[in-house]
Amino acid sequence: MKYFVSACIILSLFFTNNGVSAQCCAAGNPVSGDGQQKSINKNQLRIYTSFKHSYSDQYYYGNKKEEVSFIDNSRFNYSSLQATYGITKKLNLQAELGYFFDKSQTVYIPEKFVFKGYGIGDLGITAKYQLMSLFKPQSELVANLGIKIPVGKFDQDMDGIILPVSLQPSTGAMKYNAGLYYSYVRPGNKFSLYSFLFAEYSSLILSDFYYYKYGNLYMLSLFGKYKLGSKVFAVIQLREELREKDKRENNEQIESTGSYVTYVAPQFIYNFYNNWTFICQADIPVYKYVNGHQLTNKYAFSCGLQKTLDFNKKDHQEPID
Amino acid sequence: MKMFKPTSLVFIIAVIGLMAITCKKENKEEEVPPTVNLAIDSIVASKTDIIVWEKINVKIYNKGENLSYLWQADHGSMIGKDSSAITYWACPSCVGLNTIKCTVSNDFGSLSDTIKINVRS
Repeated sequence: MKYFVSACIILSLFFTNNGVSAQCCAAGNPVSGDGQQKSINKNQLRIYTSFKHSYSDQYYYGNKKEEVSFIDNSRFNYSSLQATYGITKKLNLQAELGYFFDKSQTVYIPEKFVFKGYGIGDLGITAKYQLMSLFKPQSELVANLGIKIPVGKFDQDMDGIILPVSLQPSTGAMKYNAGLYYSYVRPGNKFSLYSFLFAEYSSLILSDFYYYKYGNLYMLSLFGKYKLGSKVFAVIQLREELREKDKRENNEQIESTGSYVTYVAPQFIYNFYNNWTFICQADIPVYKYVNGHQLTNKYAFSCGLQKTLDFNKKDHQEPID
Repeated sequence: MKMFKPTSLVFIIAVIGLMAITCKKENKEEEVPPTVNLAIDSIVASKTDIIVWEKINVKIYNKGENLSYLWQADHGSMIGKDSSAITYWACPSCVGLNTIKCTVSNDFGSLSDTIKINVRS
């Protein structure tokens, strides 16, 4: 049975349609992190590096597909480095910075033309505070407060033309987020449950030329984790994402922005040599509703490596479990 | 008194340092008054009232030699090749009154001008 479950998850990672978010004309930005919001102990350092690929070529009107031949596809290849440090037993500080190798869009006008952006994305800094921790059953409640700073380029041009906002590597706006993570693990049980509630508020884009405000993002994730073997875990995540409409001059809401998407996200975790962890994840949208007409993601997947270093005791390093 | 360990301090300093390095100010090129060496006459669009996905041509008329062009739109997309003319169109999220700006530069400085394009659904 466990081999069947793992085979299904691995196959779904590579052969299913999935996505992360919707925007009118581009693939959007990655929602950072690996879904592992578990806190770490004092003087531990958790490093997570990942790669994410997203491809979008499906236009939607409401919850129906529609044909728009003008834009062929939009995609990004994004790599990020995340470091989390245990300042105290209860307080963790996390920093994350990523790089877009390719954030591009192919259009036919009618000849083929490719817009291509690249560069450093936004810097995310999050403080995590463990509100509650129990041993039997093992559970914890962690509150997150974070900011995203638009440190990357927002004025990138190509052949003398500034790329559209949606293809710039940086979002150009300060973002503030809050989250609540809860985990529940029964000792001796192979199955454990997690949940993550997340909200993000965006400020106006920091530019004289643009008056643009991204819509707020609300997210609820429920995770079920199953131990397939001593080093192998399978995770199924059900995630609801609600993105409000963006705004332009005079606080006018932009009709073809904002969406409601339900995802199923299978995740595969493998612990190996000296507490290294390999994580692979896909996001499969099982229901999409967009306001107006929008390009939505067709598939996305990410892979990453994680290592937790313990500066308290050299012989104890904590893998994901 | 309880103190942070050196490793904690290093991590905090690294984060603050990264913020300080990367939080840069916007680099604006100062504009100069028009002269015979550099001047913009006008920006002209083939249409200023269009529907979503409709393509139009926009051209800037100017004076000067060895000019470089930088085009910018607050909503919508453009293509061109470092030239005085571009093709503009807008997707459904660009409905409204949009601004196209062109900055022309050479050794004598830079100048810019804008044109408004109304995009309807």
